[in-house]
Amino acid sequence: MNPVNKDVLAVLTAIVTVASIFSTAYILLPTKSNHYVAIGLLNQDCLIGNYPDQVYNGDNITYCIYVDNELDHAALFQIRYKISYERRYLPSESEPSPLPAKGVWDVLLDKGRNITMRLTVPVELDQINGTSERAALIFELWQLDPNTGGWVYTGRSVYIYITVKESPLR
Amino acid sequence: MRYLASVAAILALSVAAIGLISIASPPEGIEGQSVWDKWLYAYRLVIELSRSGINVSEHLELLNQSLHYIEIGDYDKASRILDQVIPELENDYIALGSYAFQENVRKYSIVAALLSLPPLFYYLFPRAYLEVWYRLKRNWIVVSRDEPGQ
Repeated sequence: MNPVNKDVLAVLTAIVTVASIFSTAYILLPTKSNHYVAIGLLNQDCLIGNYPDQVYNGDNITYCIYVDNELDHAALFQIRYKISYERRYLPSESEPSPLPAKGVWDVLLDKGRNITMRLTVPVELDQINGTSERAALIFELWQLDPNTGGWVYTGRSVYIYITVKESPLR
Repeated sequence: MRYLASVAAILALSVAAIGLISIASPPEGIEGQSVWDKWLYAYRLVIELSRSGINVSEHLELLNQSLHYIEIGDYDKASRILDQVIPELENDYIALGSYAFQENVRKYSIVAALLSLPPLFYYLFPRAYLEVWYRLKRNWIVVSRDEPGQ
């Protein structure tokens, strides 16, 4: 004699089977298939928005830079700061800006960790046409290649346009 | 605003937790280059360990410190830290094989247990249910309706 109805047992077994298969798949399948790194630009209070829109030539300006390491391993990153007058010198996803770096910061990040760094950068243009000039402040994210010991551009960068005015003291 | 404030708080905590280094490029000079090579070796080990799922946060902290000393040109201190951290990393790297084996055993044991659940359920559940059913009704008395006097 069995008090459990055959159909009820079949349904319950089916539920257990499905749950078991899903749990197994969850364990066996890789949890994260897309690894990436990210860089973000925040204002001097480390918040989004309210970015300064003008600065005197030669003054310093403070930003917060956010770096996120979602690779499958720890990595040493480098932030390179550049200033560009021209659009053609902006970095793309494949090529960094050809301009020389005006500042460099390194940070070693564990996998899955992020950091926000408050960076003070000089805004210094060689010459200003008229009373002011539009310039892009560029922050590129580079990564140290452990095999070659050289820096590799990650394809990630941020830039912000700012009006650089002739300093009244000059 | 509240969201922005919480983002700012999280970001500030991240800064406090990790710290910031400012270094330009690999150091110059024979001593500097030798320490940098040593640092790179430790970096490679850390990456391998990190990729294999080993917790390397303490090692990263030491590597951060040594990087800071390299940046300020204090190669002795940088080298001393690296001499401390590299043997630990090497030991962990050697143990990586057995760690991977243990991890695989653990993982596939769980998988085997999970996959054996449906047949076990099918076999054991009716029996367990029956056992409980019997226990709940063991005080019942079977009485024939036809028995005289009932």
